[in-house]
Amino acid sequence: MTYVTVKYLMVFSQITRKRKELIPISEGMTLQDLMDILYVKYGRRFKKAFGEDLGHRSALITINSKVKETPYILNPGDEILISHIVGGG
Amino acid sequence: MGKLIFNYEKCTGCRACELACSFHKEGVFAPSKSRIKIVRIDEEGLDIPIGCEHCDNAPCITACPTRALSRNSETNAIVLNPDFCIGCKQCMVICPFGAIHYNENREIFYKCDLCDGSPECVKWCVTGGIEYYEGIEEFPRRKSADRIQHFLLNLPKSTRSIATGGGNKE
Amino acid sequence: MTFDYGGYAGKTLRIDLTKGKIIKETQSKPKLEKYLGGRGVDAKILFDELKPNINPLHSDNVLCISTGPITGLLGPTTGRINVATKSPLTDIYGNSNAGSDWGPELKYAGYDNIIIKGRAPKPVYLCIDDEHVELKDAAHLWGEGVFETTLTLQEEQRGYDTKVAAIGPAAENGVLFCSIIFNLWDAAGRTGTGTVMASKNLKAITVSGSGELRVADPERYLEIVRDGWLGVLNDPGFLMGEHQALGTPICVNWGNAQGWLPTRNFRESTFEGADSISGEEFRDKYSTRSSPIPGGRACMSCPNRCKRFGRIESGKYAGTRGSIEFEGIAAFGSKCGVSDLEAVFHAYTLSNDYGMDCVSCGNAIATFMELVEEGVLEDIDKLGLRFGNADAMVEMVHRIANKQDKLGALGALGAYKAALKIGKNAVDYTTSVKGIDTIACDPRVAKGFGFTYAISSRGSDHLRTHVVFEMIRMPPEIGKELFGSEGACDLMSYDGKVRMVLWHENLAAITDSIGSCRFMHASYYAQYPVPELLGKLRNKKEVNSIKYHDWISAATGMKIDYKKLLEIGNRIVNIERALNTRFGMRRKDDRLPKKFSKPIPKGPGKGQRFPKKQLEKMLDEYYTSREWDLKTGLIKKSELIKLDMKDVLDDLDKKKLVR
Repeated sequence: MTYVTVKYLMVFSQITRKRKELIPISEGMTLQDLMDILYVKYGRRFKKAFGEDLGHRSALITINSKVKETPYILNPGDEILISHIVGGG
Repeated sequence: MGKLIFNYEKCTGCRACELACSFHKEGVFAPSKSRIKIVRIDEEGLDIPIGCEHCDNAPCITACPTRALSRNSETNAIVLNPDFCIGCKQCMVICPFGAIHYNENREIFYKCDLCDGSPECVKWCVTGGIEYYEGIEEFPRRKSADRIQHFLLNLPKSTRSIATGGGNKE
Repeated sequence: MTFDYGGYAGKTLRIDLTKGKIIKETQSKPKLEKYLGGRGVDAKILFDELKPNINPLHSDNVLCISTGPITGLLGPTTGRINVATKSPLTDIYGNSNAGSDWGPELKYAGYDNIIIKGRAPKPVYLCIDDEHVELKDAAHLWGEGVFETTLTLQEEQRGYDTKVAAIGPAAENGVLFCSIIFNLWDAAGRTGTGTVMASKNLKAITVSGSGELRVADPERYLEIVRDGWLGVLNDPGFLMGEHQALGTPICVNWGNAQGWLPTRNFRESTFEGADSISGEEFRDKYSTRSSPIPGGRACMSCPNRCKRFGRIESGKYAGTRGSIEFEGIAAFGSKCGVSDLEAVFHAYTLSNDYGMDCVSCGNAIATFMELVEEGVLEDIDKLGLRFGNADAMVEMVHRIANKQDKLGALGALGAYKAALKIGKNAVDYTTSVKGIDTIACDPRVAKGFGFTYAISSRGSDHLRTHVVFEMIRMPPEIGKELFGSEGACDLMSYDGKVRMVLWHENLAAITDSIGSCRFMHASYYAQYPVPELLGKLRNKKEVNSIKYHDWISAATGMKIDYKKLLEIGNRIVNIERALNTRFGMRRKDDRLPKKFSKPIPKGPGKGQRFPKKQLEKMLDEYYTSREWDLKTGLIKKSELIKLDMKDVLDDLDKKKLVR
């Protein structure tokens, strides 16, 4: 079976109680499919934390350090990073 | 019957409640004139809100020789009548929570009266460090259920309010 | 209250340590109208009362500690305190800012600011208890760490109700970058303010106040403040939990993902060990409280709670505890290549206890590590100074604080002065601008930050502007509306960045001067007009925002609108510039270190650099907007007249320091 690595930053790691995990993928699976799995797995609070209503401050998903749209087809070994956008300390 | 609940684990020590209280009651910003106090224990990183618990069997009422302290039947608050107060400080000494403050400059006691059922401090507390419950019976049940829920689901306690509302009260 | 303006306590404390004299003065109204308070008033006091050519550690140096008009008045984030002096680290204008509840307490005691001059014949501390102000013997505290000093003084006085500002043994030893530490954890860290305080034989300042503060228009004030709180609470950044989740250490992993986390003394800008020194790691392993804000603590009246408290329970560094913050983690962590969070936390707490600035301390160590690796500096004391050596780093903190052995004594000078002393091409490895080392954000990736480093009045620093605007994917429409270019919202673009920096710089001067926090106008963007613009974009009917102009007006009774607010900000930037002009700063000093013209080797910022030519172009635009002379960087006469700074103009004109 092939896997992708999903890394959770900030509040996401708080909700999932994990900093990263391996998720098995099947051939042709898109980022959207993966997100649907995660939404089910971690529930309402996880989904809400994406903050679709927050506009520019909504969550950011990068794959191998690049921002990707949801139709993106996952490749084995991809590293998916789920975080918010913050700036400065 | 209302009650203020002090959640020290949620308090960040911002002391907005102190200022809101003194401004609401006295029209000035002065923590020394606030009915509620935050004790900031910097060395341990703890902030502990201290205010009147409005005890049913209140030692302060018993201790008061001039009956300046009495219970308001509507809000269940113990209130101070400054006209009767002789400044003996018995209430201050006997209070197990240290909730009655005395201002040396003006020789006046400050005592929480629950703002007639709508406490100002609660309105300014963004983390839920101070909460006001009309029906106190509900509170321990909810707290306990929360704990069990988190235990059963193996969730960290902290997920409750941060993820969704930036730490706002739910 | 006898003072005409609301909000202010109304009194200045003047301390002459040489004579042991304490004078209480009424605040000057015109000065407040022009400079508000805090950073603005401090800069003016220094301009008026400081002899420019003195040694910063001479007894004639002036140390100003100031609050602002809205400090301690229930508004969001009103717990800041400003410290200004001539810096021993940079030999120019030195200024630093801390947040806690020390500042408000000073106002409740009845004083807006303290001006300290002279040198006490023996160690003393200043005790302020409402109207009782006295200098007390500090013999028993001299040589003690910040923690011991603070706790002893609290025990001796009113316990937790006594707020303490203290310096540590490093400052007494003359380490040039020492901090004044407020209430154990909050440092007015940079530019060596603590060293100046130590040179005056002043160990600590304790404050407890039972007084009250009034505002000019209470009803309106409360309304404005409530609007401000809601503005913060409804800000998208606040709602997603920018600082509530992890505090400022949230930036470790994020900076690494965006490619601006300085690594191994800015050799790279991504750190492979970022996750193990991240805010997430700190929360999971060391936070003392689990619910609901892990270890979160706040300054006075602040909903943001960006401080994180933690403790190490076991192992080599067991017992280490304290408040941690991003800059310190980056300084001892990624900059030194150390991925052991316990060592970083320990070094951080040590430098707090010694009373040193953790940023400068970490930078000095990182620079030495690079110099040793490059063969420019010999590891004379055989510490094994190499990137990633955590033990050597912790040992260096001890040595610098005590000026022990050769490297310790060198490190105590700060990275830049040490490099000058080492000679050869050592300076090329430092990241200093105007003598102070760069904070934790790689300017080659974040262009607005980079430009800020070059122009900052206190040297390489982001807090003069805090242009987070470019980092947070702001809608391009807002960049266009406010700064004339969509590029302002793009991290690696140069477009619109000068205008963006200008706006931020003016507002930052305001927040420092009134006693509010940088995070409100930059980071959350709760300050007018950004929430209004965002609301318009999303068709929101009701928008809450912070309006500093209304806020100051309602608190003090002055009449200030948004335009005038920016003008005051501009004036404060100019008074600081005037001050620095006297210290010899010209256009040639507004520069970036050589290091940043080399491209970044890897990561998301690969190939990025900040070319000198680009900087010069931006400086031209910046000087033109500020009305400063393009060739020299001196302020133009017309600008000073326009800003109603005749007295400053006359003084500068005598010395031929205006154009």
